[in-house]
Amino acid sequence: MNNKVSITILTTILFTFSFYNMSAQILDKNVLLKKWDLDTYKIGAKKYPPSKKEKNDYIFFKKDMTFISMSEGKKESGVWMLNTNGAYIMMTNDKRETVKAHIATLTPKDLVLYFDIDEIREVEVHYSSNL
Amino acid sequence: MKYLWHISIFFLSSVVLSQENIALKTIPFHTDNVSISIAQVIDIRKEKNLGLGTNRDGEKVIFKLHPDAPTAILNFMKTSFLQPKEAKPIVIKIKDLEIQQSQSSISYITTRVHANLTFYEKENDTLQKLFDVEHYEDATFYISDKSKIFDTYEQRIRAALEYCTLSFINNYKKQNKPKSISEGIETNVEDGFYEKSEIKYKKKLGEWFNMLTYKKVYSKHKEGWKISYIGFADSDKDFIMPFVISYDRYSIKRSSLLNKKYTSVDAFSIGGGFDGYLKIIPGIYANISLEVPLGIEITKKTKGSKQHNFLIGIGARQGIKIIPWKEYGIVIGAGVFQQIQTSRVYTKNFGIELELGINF
Repeated sequence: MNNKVSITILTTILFTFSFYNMSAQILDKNVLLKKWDLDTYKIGAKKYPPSKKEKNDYIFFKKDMTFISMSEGKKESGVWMLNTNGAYIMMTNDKRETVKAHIATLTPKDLVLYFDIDEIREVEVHYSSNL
Repeated sequence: MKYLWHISIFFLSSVVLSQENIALKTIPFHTDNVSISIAQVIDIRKEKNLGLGTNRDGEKVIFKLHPDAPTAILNFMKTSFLQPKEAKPIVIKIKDLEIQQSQSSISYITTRVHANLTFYEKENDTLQKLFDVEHYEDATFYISDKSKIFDTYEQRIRAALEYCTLSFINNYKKQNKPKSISEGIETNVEDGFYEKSEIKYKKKLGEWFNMLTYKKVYSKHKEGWKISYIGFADSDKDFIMPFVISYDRYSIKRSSLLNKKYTSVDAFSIGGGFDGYLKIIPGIYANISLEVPLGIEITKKTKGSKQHNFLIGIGARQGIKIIPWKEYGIVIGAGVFQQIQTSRVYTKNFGIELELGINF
């Protein structure tokens, strides 16, 4: 009887974890819909704080597929799309400049992006949200 | 003998036609609850595979979708569309679906999935064309990340299929908006991502060339040589900016030193600057460059004393380069050059260059 209970518990735990892992791979567009504040940069294991200019930088992904961002104190707006299978966001600003950002982590509180730009390809850009 | 023949044929075919399957994961994407269902996928490609790629062991193999492209894509699509009974049945024809890979700069490799899909509406067993979409799903990796390239082929195929389908949905929603809403609205916010401007890209990624060349330089007062390593990703339309490292050496001709106070003048320099190629026809490139050579000039006076002089200058080149064979072969080039340098003997130099090298 005890063995049976143990097996049931083990199976439940395994099932829960496998479900958690599977769902972790699927990006939920709704989780992105908020204001993400620039938190830190990470290269390898080392973390770097944003510069003074970048202190108030953010990206705000809206439900109508438009975004507003602040980059080095300059406000920008445009449209965005999510490719769930490619795990990336594409953003096109009002000047029709497009940037692709690969999503490394997405949780309700944290967003980690890699921008598809040669000079900063290795830089993890960490954003956080209080919402 | 007969067995030996069969064994050799078996090994030969396994070398030439080595295939590897890619099984598509079925990760759903956001379809905005549009009321359609994917009823059928038809593969109309001549070659039913994904083309050549490199597997985890670094071997060149032909990739194909498992068990076949229509089944893999249909299963992939079914996870994203809820398939209610009243949903409009859609048929997809695969016109192109292939993977490509090429070195794009001295440190990066670009990989690409090229997808060309046509979406049809199925009505009473007839197909009515709704939308045609072509997409290039590119990703760039460090050359050292080769295993990562293989590991993400599958993901890029899914990403390309998702992009094509989102593009179709965007168009479908526009076409099927109630008249009262669609009047005066010709664009969606997402249009910027799905318009056909990206067709400007070439279907094939440019091949990477490595070249080692030797140049013989002739001018009125100087003679010398130059060795260079040149690396570039080929392009039919764009101006090509190669990676170049060069070392050159020259001396002033004895006849040009007769009226000077020097018995010999030798110099060497390392070149750096801007170099550019423009493809005229396949295998023939026009070459222009502007460089700032830095080096040392060693002058020997008639009295026997040696002097070292720091060399800096500016030079321009115009020439032509011929690369007859893409894979491995020879490189032939010719051109003219103009140079101004801080030389103690001759500051201006004009001449011709003849070039011979190998590409690998």
